[in-house]
Amino acid sequence: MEISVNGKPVKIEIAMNLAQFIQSRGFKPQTVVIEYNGEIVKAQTWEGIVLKPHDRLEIVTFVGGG
Amino acid sequence: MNDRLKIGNQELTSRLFLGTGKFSSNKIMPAAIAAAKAQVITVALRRADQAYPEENILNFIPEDCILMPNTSGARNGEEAVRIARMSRAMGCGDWIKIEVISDNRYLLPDNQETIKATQILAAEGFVVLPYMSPDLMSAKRLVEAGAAAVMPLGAPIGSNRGLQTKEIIRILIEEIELPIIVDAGIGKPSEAVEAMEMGAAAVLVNTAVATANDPVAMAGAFDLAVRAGRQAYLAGLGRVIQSNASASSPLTGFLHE
Repeated sequence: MEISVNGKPVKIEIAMNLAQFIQSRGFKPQTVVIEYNGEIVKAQTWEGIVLKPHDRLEIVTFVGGG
Repeated sequence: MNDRLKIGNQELTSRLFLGTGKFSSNKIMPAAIAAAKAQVITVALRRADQAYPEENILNFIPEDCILMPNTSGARNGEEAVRIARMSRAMGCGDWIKIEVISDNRYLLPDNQETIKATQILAAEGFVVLPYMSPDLMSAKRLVEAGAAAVMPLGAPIGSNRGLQTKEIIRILIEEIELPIIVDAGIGKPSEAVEAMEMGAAAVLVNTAVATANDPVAMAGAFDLAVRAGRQAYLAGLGRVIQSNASASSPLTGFLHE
């Protein structure tokens, strides 16, 4: 199935929850905030969110800025 | 000297806010922050790219600093609100610098959209510090909207051109009860001194430090400048006379008399 991650299409071969997806992509969970279909979802809830086709994820982090 | 700057519920001893953009390496940052004696540090929020797992910038910012994420990248108030909420979800406090920019050439902030975002976020309990184009009526509306301070620009972002908007900033300091923090444009310590002598509550500096040959030494220079300017403001500047001169030494008892 295909989901959208930070505006780009991403193919997922096996069913997984959000926590597994974050881990599989090499993100450090404590350094990111996730918007799942437009809603901010806390890290404690990631395991309960099973990804489905056309889900939209925004994964953001802090960077240098003024 | 008990001269604290109160913003929200925080009392600050440092009036130099430091941005973290444009440093050649994150590794310089702890020393620059220490040299600046800065307590308020800005960061930006961006999409995380797993292909380039960057070092976490928070590892380079001392934990006792107040983090002030900005909403850079927002083109309207709605986008600024979204970025602010995501920033707060990072769990690093309630401060937010509103930055709404739709002008790609001069990067001037959109005051109207900034006011909208300020109102929404202040109502949600954020400590809102809006970056704005210097304008008295907009500043008044930011006060009404619940801003914790008002941050007019001295010159376009990253330009290092100094206090081009000096006259309006002077008026804002006079007319607005909230702290006025000069954000953007300050390129030299002398310009920070000038802003502080005028009565600015603080200055926010990034490019001037980050692009200096020696950012750590420059951070120290800005610390001295901000403290000198503040002390001069508190001392009250001596008067200016418009013509001729006024002797500093007595005009009596000359040896030729």
